[in-house]
Amino acid sequence: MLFNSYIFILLFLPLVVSGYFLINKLQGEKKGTLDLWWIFAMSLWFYGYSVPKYLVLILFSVFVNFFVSKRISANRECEKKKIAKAWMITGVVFNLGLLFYFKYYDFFISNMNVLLKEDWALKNIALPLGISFFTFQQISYIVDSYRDKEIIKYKFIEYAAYVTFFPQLVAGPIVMHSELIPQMKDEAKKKINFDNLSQGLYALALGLGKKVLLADTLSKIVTFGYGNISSLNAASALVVMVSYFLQIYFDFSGYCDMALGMAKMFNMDLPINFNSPYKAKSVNGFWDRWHLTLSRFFIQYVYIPLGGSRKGKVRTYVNTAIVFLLSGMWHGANWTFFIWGITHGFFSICEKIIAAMLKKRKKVKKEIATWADRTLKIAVGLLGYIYMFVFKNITLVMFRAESVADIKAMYHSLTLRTGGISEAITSKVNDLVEVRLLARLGFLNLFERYPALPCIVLLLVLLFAVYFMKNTQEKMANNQFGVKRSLITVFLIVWSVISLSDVSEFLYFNF
Amino acid sequence: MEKQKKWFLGTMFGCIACLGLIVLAMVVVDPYFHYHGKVPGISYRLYNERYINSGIADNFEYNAVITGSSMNQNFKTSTVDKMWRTKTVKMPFSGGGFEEIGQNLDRAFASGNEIKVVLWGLDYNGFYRDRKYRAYEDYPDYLYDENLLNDVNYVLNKELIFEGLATDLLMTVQGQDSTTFDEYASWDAGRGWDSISLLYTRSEEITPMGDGILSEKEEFLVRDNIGANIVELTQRYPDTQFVFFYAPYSAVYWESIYRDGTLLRQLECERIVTEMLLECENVTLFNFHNKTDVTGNLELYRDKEHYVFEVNDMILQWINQGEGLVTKENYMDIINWEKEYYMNYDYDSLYE
Repeated sequence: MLFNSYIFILLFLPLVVSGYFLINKLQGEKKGTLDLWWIFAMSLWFYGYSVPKYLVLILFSVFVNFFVSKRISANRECEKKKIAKAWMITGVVFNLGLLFYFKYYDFFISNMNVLLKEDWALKNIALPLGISFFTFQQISYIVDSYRDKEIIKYKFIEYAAYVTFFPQLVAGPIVMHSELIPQMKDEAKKKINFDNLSQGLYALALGLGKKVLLADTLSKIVTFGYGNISSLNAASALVVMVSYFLQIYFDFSGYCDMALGMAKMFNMDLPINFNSPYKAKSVNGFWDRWHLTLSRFFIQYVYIPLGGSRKGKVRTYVNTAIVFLLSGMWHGANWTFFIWGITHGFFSICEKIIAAMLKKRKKVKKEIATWADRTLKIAVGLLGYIYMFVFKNITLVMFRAESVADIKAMYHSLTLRTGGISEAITSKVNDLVEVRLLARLGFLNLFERYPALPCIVLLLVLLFAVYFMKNTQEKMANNQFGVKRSLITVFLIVWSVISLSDVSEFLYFNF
Repeated sequence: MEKQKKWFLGTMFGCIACLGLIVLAMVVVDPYFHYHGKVPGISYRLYNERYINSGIADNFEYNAVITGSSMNQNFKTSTVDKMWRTKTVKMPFSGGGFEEIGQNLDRAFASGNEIKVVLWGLDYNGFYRDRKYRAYEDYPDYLYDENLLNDVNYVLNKELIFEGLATDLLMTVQGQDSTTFDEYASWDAGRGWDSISLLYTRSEEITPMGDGILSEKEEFLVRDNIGANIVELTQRYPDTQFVFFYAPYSAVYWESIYRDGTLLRQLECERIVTEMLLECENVTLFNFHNKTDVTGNLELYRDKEHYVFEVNDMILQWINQGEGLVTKENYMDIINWEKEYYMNYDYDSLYE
């Protein structure tokens, strides 16, 4: 089930939230776990709605991980540390094995076929929804079961409800057990809280709007562009690249807002996963703002165990490179992601080297901070924005392209200075109901004269939004729930809901 | 907390009220006739065939149907009504395959209307196709099934609200009349070589002409397509007269199959289809390929197949006068004439 679907918004969400509080009200002071069973059952419905067979996978994964963590805890209690460690390794290998099989098996075999000139059959496995997320989540749980000071003792339903909790199940954030399970058990959080419901509804509306109204609109340009790279000239390629730069932002930001908002409705706080990432002025700064819980996972479970920055500069850089390489591969089983990860790693290391050099110079100059320094600082900040804009737009081609050849073709398109933005691209915006409405309201002549205008204005407005507007957390922190906010929420939800269903274009190409 | 409660409940009420009003308006006006026919006093725009034809089939009153692909879009139901004294609706499917057109006819017959006549111009290039052929897979199934739950895709659909509900209401306010079936789906755009050449490029090479004999498998393809989608359809409704005609494509079309070496194969397909249709008691078949003043006049074509509306008018006249009627006695003569004429046509003259 998708967040941006009728069944989710009009049926599932109202049902699961109201059912949760109703059950808690009926449970009263008994402190039962029926509410968690409700969350678990409804989350399974959510997960299995489109492909029911993958319910077996997630249930299997939850049972095995819970069993392994129990074995770890039991052996730690008996002070059998080696056996506990063996169970921990078993658990991690199990999770990685599951991920490898479903995500990387075909990629691995196809590369082996090329390398060894073999013809081993591919399995054409469809990637189960959210497997990358719940696998990492459970790896963190297994490792924590082994290394946390306190021995973890959860009931099965607490663990199962935590892993499958639908707001974070399929696209993160990667929530730690220590962040969510205590909240799920907290009796104070089991009563309706209108403050949280209001905040949650507002965040949901913002997220839904970002996803349905913005990201899905931009996706039309991007899908066309990447499906027809050879037909793009420089102007069109640039529009496609910037559109993807914005699409991925609003898609992920929208999803994170919705997850945050829905958890809030249950009086639960999820960790911040998205914090105005395009306001970063460096690659390292970007990763402090984008998909924060993934960065956190890699730092806690890969970078630090590898020695982090404690073993000298060279090891720090090597560890950084490893993390970015793994991050690239985590995003997808394709060499394009490998290249994307390597590029990010390379720039991250370069930035670290430059920062270390500048730090030395700063110490010398610290005493003589003048207005010239401040001016320089502003200029450097501005350069940082430009650097990141260019860097992200270029590297996102690696992220979106389906093959290395497509990456090259897209960059090549940037050199083809033949005419303006193609009609096939501008029509993706001009065909929007909203633009047609504006045309009917008197802008028709303008749009006919400048057909690229709506597309360019849309991109500029959205660029302004990502660089200058407050993000959802900042808006939620301003706890002023008045008429204006209510109207915005109603507008976004209603407009998004009626935008969920598309009308197919029946273009008769021979006609 | 009290303030937040008020805010939350008020906002939820706002969402439910707005969505509820939209649903109510869509159900009452019903711009695609999914639930009922026209509401008196409201002007309706007929457009977007695959979204509205099912509603026309279900909820209009009629006793004659014009259907088929885009070859039938320019027919005027008013002419047919005068000709056959009927109340006709037009339900064309641009690029439509025989199966989807037939399925919509089944729907029309199931509507309770007693249909006396069906006029269907068959795509002459559609014989040699799989019976399941569809130009478009992404169908609005929610308008074709009886599942009320998936109607949410209809009643809460921005595109349909804007193009359907809002447009109908605007037309009503502005005092415009509903689209007539004469106007529905009709077009009058570019014509002549300038237009035809946009979609047709003469191949450099002439592929040697095939012998026109179909293999068993190829013949099965044709028989299966026509048998399942047309013959069986006419047999299901024996009290209805089906009037078919082979859409008279331009000489450029004939040149294209001449140059790719499939002209004789096409004629063999025509023979098979003709024999199958002539076996049906309630079928009348017309063929206008011998109207060479039309097929050779490229000013009457938009592309190598699509003729302009004047030709649709002529077709109705010819049918009315019984011209081009195909019978068991004359069908082989017609095919032989076509072979003789289009195999020896001076196609170069089209380019002069």
